[in-house]
Amino acid sequence: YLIPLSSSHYPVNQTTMHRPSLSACQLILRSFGRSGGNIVASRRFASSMNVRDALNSAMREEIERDPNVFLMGEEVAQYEGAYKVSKGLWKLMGDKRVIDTPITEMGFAGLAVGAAMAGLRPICEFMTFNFSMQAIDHVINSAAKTYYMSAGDVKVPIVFRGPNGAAAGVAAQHSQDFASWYSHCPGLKVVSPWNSEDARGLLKAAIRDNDPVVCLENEMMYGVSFEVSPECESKDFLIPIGKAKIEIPGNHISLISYGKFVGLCVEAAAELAKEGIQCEVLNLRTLRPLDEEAIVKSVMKTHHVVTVESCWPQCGMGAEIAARIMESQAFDYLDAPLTRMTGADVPMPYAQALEAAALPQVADIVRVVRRTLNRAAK
Amino acid sequence: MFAVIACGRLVQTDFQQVDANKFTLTIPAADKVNHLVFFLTGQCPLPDGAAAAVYLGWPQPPPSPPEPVWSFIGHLTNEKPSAIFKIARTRPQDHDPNHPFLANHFATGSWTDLTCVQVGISIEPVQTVAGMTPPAGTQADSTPTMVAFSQRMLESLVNYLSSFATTPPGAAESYVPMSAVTSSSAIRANLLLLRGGGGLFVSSRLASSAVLSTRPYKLHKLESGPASEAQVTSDEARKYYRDMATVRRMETAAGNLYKEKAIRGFCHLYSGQEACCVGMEAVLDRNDPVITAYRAHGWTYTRGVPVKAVLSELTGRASGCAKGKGGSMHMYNHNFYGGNGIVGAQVPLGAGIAFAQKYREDKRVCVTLYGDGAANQGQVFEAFNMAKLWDLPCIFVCENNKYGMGTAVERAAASTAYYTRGDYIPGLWVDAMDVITVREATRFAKDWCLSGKGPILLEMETYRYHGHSMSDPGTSYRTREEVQSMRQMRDPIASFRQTLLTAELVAEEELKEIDQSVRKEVDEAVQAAKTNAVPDPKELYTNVYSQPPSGQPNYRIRGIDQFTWSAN
Repeated sequence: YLIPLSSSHYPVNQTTMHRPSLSACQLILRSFGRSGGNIVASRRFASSMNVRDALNSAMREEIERDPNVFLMGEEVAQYEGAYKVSKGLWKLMGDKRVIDTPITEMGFAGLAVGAAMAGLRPICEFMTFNFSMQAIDHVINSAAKTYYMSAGDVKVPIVFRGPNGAAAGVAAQHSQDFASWYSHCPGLKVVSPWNSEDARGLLKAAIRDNDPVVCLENEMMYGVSFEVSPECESKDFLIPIGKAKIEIPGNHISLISYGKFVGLCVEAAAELAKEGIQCEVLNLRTLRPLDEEAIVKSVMKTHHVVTVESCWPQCGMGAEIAARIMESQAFDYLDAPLTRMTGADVPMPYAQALEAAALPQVADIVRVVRRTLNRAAK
Repeated sequence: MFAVIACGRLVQTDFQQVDANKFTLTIPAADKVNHLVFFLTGQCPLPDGAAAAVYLGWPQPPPSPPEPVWSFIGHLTNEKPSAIFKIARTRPQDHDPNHPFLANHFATGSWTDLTCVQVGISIEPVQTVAGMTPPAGTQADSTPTMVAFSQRMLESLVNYLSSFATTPPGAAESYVPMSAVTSSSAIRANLLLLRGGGGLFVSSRLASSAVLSTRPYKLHKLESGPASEAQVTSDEARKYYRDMATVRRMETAAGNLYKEKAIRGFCHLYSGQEACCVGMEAVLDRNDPVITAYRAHGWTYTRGVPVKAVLSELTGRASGCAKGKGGSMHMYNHNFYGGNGIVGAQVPLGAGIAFAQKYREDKRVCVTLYGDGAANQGQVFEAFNMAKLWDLPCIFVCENNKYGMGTAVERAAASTAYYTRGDYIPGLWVDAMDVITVREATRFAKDWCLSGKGPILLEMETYRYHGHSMSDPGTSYRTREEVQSMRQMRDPIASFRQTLLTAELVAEEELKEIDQSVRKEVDEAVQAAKTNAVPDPKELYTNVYSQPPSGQPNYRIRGIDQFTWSAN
C-alpha cells in the first residue's frame, strides 16, 4: 500500500507543468487530500519503490560509481541475498564486486575492516544484526576506534548493514534491536532508514562517508512500497547524516522514532488526527549523531514527547533522548514528562500474541499519546 | 716431532701416537684460543714426500653423539716446518662420517669437556695433502692485521718526520729537529692520517660479502624450502646488526622508562625477538604492508618510525607517532597497521589488507603477525579459510616465543606445531634467533605469495627475555636459568655479531662504533621522550571522525558533562 506523503517530500518550487491537463497520476495524488499542501508540479512523475529496491539500487549505483566499493556477506551473491536485497547485483557486477563469504562473521567482518583500512570501501552485510555480535569486536575495536588511536593516520570507510530488530516469529536470538548498542560508541555513525527514500539516501551517504557507518534496516520494511520524489531517483541522491526529518508536522505532541516504528507513529498520528490531536512525527533517520536540534525544536513547539523504539527499556534510545531533553532548553517547555515506548524487558517470545505484546503497537502509541495529553480514552 | 703453542701458554708437545702415522693431543680451554702455532721441533724431519696434515676435532654439545666434528685446517712440510692457524668453530654440517680421526680409539682426552679441542696430525703423502682445502677462516693472515698496521704507522711517522729534516751547514747528513719529533701536533697529525688511512686499511682486509649458512627449516606441505645459504654483503650485515641493536636498546630504554613510571599502562617488550622483524624487513619493502599485535615496538621501528617517535608515544607526548593518543599498542605508519590490542583481531584484518591488494592487483604481500597465544583464536582460522579460499597474498607469521602470557605453549595448544596449523596452507618452521635464517624464509614466502600460490604460514620460533608485559616479571612460569641460557647461547644479536667477525664481514671496531651510535640515538630519544610536550588538551576531541557528519558540519563532541564540549 502507498503511504501518504507529506508536502516536504517535494521541493517547493514554482516549476509549471508542461501539460495543460492533469495526468491520471496527479489526479490520484490530489485525491489524497493533503491539508494545505499544493501539489508541486514536477517535470517527472513521482514513482513508487519498495525499501528492498531502494537499497538494491543504492548499492548498484555506488558500486558502479566507485571501483573501490564492493559488497560482501553471506548469500549476497549467488543466492541474491537472504532477503533478496542484493538481487541481480552479482549477475551484473560479478565475483569481484559481490562476494559470498563463509559463515564466519568475526572473520569476514575483520577482513572487511582490514580492506577498508587498506583503502577499499566495503559494504559488509550481516544477515541480521543479531549475528553482528560475533563480529562486534571488529565493528568497535577495529573499525570505530582506529582513526582516533592512529591520530588520523588510518581511515576506515566501511558500511555495516543489514536487518535490525524484530521480524515476525523469529524468537529471542533473532530479534534484538542494536540501535542503542551501536549508537553508544564514538567513531561510528549510525543510521536507521524507515522508508524507501531514507533507505536510498542514507545508504548512499553511508557508502560515500569516509568513516565507519552502521546502517540498521528492518526486514519487515523490505517489501513495503513508498512513493519517492524524483530527486530520490537521482544517482547522487544523498540524505545528510545527522539530520532528522519531520514526516508529519504537528503542534500537540512529538512522536520521536526511527526505522519501522516511524510507520507506526504515522499510523497512530492519522488515527489521533480524527480526534483533533496533531502529532508531530519526527523520523530520526540518524541515531549517531542524534539531531538534537530537531528534537529540542520539536519539543519546544509541542511541549509533549513520546519516543517509540524496539530496544529494551534500560539504556535504550528513549533513555538517551530523555536525557538530552533534560539537558536542553526544551526541559522548560515540557508540560509532561517524556514517555518512552520500548520493547518489553524480556527476550522476544515466539507465540504471536506474546510477540505482539512484547513490542509497541499502533494502539499502544495512541493510548500513550492520549494519556500524556491527559485525554480520556475513547 | 711436533709441537703446538696457544698464545699465552706453554708449548705443548704431549702428542700421543695413536697409529703408525697419526698423533693426537688435547688443548684445554680451547674456546678462549684464537690462533694455534704448529711446528716441527726439528728432532726428526718428516719422511721425504710426506706432509703432516693438521686436523681439529671440536666436541659437540649433547644431545649430539659424543664424537667430535673433525676438520682439516692445514699442513706442515719439511720446507714449511711451522704455520699459524686461526681456529674457527666448524658447523655440524661439516661433519665427515668417514673422517680418519673419527674412530673412538684414536681419540684421547675427555669428549664431554666441551671446552677442549682435539688436535690430530696425520702424516700423508704430499700430493694427498696438497689437494685438501681447509674451511674458510682458518688461514691466519700471513701478515697479521696489527703487525701490518703498526708497520704502516711507523712508515707514516717516518715520512712525516723526514719532511722536517734539514742538513746543518758542514754536516755530513740530514737531521730532524727534536721539536718536530716531540711536538703534539706531530703526533696528532699522524694519528689523523693513520685513522683515515688505517680505517681504510682495516676494512680493505675485510670481505665485502660472505656466504652464510641458514639454520635448518621444517616444511609443511612444501616440496622444498628456503635456501640453505645466502650471500650477505657487509653493508647488509651492518644494517641488520644496527637495526637489531637499535631495537634491543630501545626496548631496554622503554623498560627503564616504565620502571620510572614515565610509561603507563601496558608495555610489551620485544627483546630477544629482534631477528624476526629485522630479518623479515630485509626482504620486504615499504610497499608491503605489515600488521601485528601489541608487542609492536620493534616492528614500529623497522617500519620507519624513528626511536624518538616510538619512545615519545610510549611516554604520551605530542611528538609520539600517534600524537600520544595511541600508546604502546597503537602505533602506525605508512603500510604499518599497528599495533592491535585485541588478541587475534589483527589476523582477519591482515587478510583484509591482502584482499585489498589482490583486489587492486598490487603485486604486494601483506605480512600478518600473531603470537603463539593468538594461534588458538577462532578468527585466525576464519582468516586462514578465506585467505586460502580466495588465494590472498598473505604471509601469516606466528611469532612463537613459547609463552602466551604466563601459559607455556604445551598448556594452551593441543598442537604446538604452529607451522602446520594452517592445515591446507603450506607452512615453514624457522629458527628465528638467526636473522639470515629469517631473511631467507621471508624471501621464500614472499616469492610464494607473489607467484599466485596463495597464502603461506611461517612459524618464527623465538624467545622474549622480558615477561609478557612490564607487569609480569616473567619468572613465575619459567626459570631464570632458562632465560639466562637463552641470552647466553642463542641471543640473535650476539650470535650475528660472532658470525660477522668470523666471516670477516665487519670489523670489531665498526661494530663498536655502531653500538656507540645506537646508544647515542636511543639516549637522545629517551631525553626527548621525557621532556617533550604533552598533547594539547583539544586533542581529546580530534580524530573521532575523519569528516563531520554531512548533516552536522559543526558537530561538537561532548565532554564529561553537558557543559563540556569540544571547541568547534
